[in-house]
Amino acid sequence: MTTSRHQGTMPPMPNKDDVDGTWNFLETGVSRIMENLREGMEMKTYMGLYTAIHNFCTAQKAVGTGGFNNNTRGGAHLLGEDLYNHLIEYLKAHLGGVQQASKAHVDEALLAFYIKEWNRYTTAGTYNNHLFRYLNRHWVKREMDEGKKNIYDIYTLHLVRWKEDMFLGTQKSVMASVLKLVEKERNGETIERSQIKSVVDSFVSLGLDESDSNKSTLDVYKEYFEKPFLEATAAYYQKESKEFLAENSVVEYMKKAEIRLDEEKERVGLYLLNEIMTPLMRTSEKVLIADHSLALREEFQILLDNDRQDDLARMYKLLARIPEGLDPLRGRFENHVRKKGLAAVDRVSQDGENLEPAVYVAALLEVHTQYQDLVNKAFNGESEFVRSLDNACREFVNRNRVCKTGSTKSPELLAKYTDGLLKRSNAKMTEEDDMENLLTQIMTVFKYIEDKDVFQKFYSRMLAKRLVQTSSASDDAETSMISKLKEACGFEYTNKLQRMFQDMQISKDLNSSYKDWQMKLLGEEDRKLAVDATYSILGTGFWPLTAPTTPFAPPQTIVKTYERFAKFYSNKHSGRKLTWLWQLCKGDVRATYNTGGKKATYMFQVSTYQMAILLLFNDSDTVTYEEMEQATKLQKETLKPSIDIMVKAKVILPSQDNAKAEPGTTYTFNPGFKNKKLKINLNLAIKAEQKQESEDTHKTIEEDRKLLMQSAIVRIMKSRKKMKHQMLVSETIQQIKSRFSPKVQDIKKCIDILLEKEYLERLEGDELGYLA
Amino acid sequence: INTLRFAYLSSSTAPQNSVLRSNLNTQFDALRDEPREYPDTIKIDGSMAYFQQLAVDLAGIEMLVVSELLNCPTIGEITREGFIDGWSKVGADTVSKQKTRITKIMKSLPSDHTTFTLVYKHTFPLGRADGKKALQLENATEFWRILFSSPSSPVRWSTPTTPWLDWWIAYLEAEHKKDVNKDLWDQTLKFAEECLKDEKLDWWDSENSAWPGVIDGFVERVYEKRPKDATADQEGDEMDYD
Repeated sequence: MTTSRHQGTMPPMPNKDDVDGTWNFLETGVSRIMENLREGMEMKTYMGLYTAIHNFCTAQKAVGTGGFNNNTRGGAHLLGEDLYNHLIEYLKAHLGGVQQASKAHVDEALLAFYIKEWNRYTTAGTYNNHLFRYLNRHWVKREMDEGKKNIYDIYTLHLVRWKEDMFLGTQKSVMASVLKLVEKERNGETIERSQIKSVVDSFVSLGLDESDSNKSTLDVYKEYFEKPFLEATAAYYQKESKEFLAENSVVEYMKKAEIRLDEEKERVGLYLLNEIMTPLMRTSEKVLIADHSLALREEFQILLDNDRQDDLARMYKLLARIPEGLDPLRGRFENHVRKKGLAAVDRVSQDGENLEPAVYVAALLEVHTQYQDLVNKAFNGESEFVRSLDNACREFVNRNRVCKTGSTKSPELLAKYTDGLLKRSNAKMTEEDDMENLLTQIMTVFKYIEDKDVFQKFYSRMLAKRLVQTSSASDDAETSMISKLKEACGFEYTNKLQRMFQDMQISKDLNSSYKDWQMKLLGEEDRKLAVDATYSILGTGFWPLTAPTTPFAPPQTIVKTYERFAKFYSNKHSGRKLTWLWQLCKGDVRATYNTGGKKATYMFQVSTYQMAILLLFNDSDTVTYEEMEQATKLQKETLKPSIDIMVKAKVILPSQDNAKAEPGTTYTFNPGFKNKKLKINLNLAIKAEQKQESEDTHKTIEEDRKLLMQSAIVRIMKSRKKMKHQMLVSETIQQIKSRFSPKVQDIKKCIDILLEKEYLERLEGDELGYLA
Repeated sequence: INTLRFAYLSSSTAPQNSVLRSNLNTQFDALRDEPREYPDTIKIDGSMAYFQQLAVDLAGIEMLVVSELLNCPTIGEITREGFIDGWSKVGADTVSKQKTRITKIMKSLPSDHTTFTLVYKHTFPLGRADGKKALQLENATEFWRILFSSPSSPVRWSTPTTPWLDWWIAYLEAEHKKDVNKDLWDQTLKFAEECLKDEKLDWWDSENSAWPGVIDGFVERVYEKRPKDATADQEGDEMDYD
């Protein structure tokens, strides 16, 4: 806007009482500031203008201004209003011209025009504000102090006028241009970002706080910039995402959406106000993610099936951004993992009864490991997904094809697998670190086992065997395993296991003091003849062992040997009763063969039962089945397999090939026995016995559970004295679920039993009372 | 129990207590069948003769009512203490007074839940075999038949849609097959009363039932056996048993 109308000299200084004269004088100056600031203003002119304002405002009497000030509030000081109103009129007229001129421009040219005019106008505003300092300080201030509305300091007045007379008329076109520019950028073109930034700044400046003109609000910006900006963003991405998905895969779309979201975030930093970050992200997320969440979730199963970790991670990140975006995935994930687990078990369960514990555990672990990795890498280890994984694993560990007869099969197999690891025969290939890893893996499965009591039962039986038969690979590994179990289930869970270890230690000491005792008591001859024996003294309550099921008459040498020990022991601990667990005893028997002048000595590792049978051959080369039965007193079920193993190893020979171990069969000592090894293990576990043992173990579990539930109920009632039936049931479940998951029905049965035994009584209103 | 017994008998006009007691002692002494061996007990033969004097139906609920009144420790056995306490409280020291008394009780029994409850509960110790804690199932079902189907009973356990008592006994004989303990005995009365209040069992809460497990099982069976439409207006989840 250039005009030369006001160039040249200023009119003469007006009379201080003359309003029109004063304004005419001022208008020239104000115009010059407004339109020609670049040419500068002499100090003299500036001072003249300033003085004119001062003079006018301090004039003694108010003249000829019509009626506006007849409410005489204080004489001389009322006069500022005339100047203020004249200035308003001036600004209105001026801005009317500017707005008119803006119509000649569109798009970037309009933005350039708007920004240029805004800069010019606001700069002039600051000058004018300075010029009218006297008015600001007195008249304006007092008007504002008196609470008058719509009176502003001169600079703010400029902004108010711009908003009313310029902004409201042009903002639509200006925003349209801004949005076009942003769209260009979204389409990949380069734009002049500073233009948008200036528009933003201008809009923000126009946000005036009505109650306090020193403060600004974002109202104008929010309504005229943010709102249309967000609307345009939504519309743009709505269209784009729809079109993109029509032609591309969901996987590609996710990549696109991820990039778009990053771009929008970056855009804020480049030229938008920081305040827009949250709403802009919400808007973009809604259009780019939430509106397509159905399609995304549909893809989830496919990605899981194909194990696409990166794409799953991308999906997780996208859906995590919208409210409840992940919830539907959790259920699907859980379901998927459960199915995978079940399928893995199905694959290995083809072998039926002969399923190797190691194969089974490996199948469980493989699925867990795979999806734990996925949760950690793709799902950021998020606790809700961890929970879904845990739920799924708990399901397929406890309820799968192998467990179809009951959830006790999993803990049984896990315990057997553990036993295998901890046994000496397997240990040589396991380094210490590997062993630790393997034990940790066992604990991973253990965590999901519901029937922890079953594991305990099997574990303690097998531990007992390892200890008694000294077949344990390493004390360190054993201790490590027990401390892991203790950590997971508490002291009570491992108490008996630890007592078993103690007994073994005590037995060791006992054996060495027995040796000392023998040294003192026996003569050299006696010692030479004595059987070299080691004893384990096992506390009845702690070991899951029972007396042998078959009667047994040990050979005389053994009787002598253990009677001597028994004497020593009862001297030490009078009153203790020793029961010999013959089924667990074993010994080495040396047999010297003399064939064709060649001497060969073999060492047979045998059970005590086998020993009793073999020793019969010292007296006669031929022994009948009946004689064996007679001498050993063993039952058929034990005698037969004991013989069979020795026949199979050709230590003794039956009267006829393939003759069964039954009355009528005669056995001969095999003088031609030959074997590459000098030490031959004949003490092999008997299959039928193992199966029987496993069945027995399961049987005792049911009984133990009843006792466990009853003692929990009594414990709870003892401390509470009175309790609602339902509360008692849930409290009992709470107390017991670390061992197994009791059924409500079973708990009720126990309550019925306790009512019958008069530990409990029924009170009014479903309440139960404790009877001491 | 004693205070309750007072409560419903206090209306009778009793002769002076000591006279009463001495009359009853005399009556008791005369009724004993083995006075030398059991000076303070009337054994089975004596009791039966006495009940016949009183015209009590030995196979009916009357018999249980009198046994409760005289606090008999077991069927057909009356103790001196129970006899004298029981009759002196109602002021009946002659056979005819005693007969009148029994007739009166029997007349009000159909609406007298308090007396019925006392009789029901006393039936448990009454019917137990010597030294047993529980009631044999066989005996329990007999007593239930008497208690829950006698025309004088206030708890006649049967409704138009459901023959409760028959189903209950059939269920126990098929599934329970064990003695009935005190809890189950007591809870059965409570359960029967609830069933009569609302035979549709709208009050039944299968999730949080505090009833003995046997009753849980029985209710499940009832749901199975009852025609669907009889319970059609109940919540669906309980219909899952069908």
